Amino acid sequence: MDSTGSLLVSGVWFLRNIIGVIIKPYETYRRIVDHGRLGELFYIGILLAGYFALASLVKEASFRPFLLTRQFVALSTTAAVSFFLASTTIWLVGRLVGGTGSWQRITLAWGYTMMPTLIWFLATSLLYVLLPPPRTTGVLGIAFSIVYLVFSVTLFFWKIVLSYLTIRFGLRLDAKKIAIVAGITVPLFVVYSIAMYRFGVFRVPFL
Amino acid sequence: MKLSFRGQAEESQGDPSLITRDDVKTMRDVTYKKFVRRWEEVMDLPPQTLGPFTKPYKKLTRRLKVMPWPWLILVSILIVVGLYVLVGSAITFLVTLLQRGF
Repeated sequence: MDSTGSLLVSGVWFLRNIIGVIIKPYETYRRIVDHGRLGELFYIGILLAGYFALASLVKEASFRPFLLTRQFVALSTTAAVSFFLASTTIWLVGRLVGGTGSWQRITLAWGYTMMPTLIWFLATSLLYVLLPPPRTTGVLGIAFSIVYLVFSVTLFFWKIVLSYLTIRFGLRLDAKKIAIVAGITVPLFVVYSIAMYRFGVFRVPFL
Repeated sequence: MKLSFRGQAEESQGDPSLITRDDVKTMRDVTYKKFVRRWEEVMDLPPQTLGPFTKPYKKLTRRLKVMPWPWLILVSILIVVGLYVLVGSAITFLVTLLQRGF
């Protein structure tokens, strides 16, 4: 199969897996790790690039090509570096505690955990334009805050579930070892997120 | 669709709607292969045992394996309402911070 055909097949798998991680995350993650193709990361990358283009417009709030391009490059480069750093860290720590998976499998599985992140950032960017902060302490402000927080916490839990499945299937680890991997990697991610905040790239970590 | 046996199959040769014994054997083979593949998938992972927490863990994960949304949303609502009861209208500050967080 040529590269175009391979990319098309990866696209079909990507669509199938996107629906799967929403409806049947457990079964789908097993399939992603066992039969997934690295080409699926291309489509995840396209979705992320689309979001960064939109976020650049919202952040800059002007149509000056140089500033927009600079913002886009800064966001996408940082996100790409964060993505590969995160998946590599998980893989290395997982191997240290006895995991058996390959880096490719972990990277692909981690790619799908970017979906909750992407949805949250996209919704937050759009809401920033439609209902700009600050929120008031009136009834409508509190009602919106509750709905927004429920949405955010739900996506956060979904992210945790997908991250857990990444380690479970990607590294073939049991719950105790997954807890050890999380105990080592989460503080590292916190330090990295603080650094990103200091550099002014992402206030909420894009992981 | 009717299941035909050897004698009947001979009588109704050429009728594609009938299932022959060979078809049944093929189906058995396919089902068996699926079963073996599924068995290998399941046995590939180490079993989850968490001592006294194994039972609640299994209960929790069973709900999260297929269509986890009702449970995720329910738990989120409980947490957010709990937070609102604790800090009151101060949750709007948290939301303001998050909205500027992208």
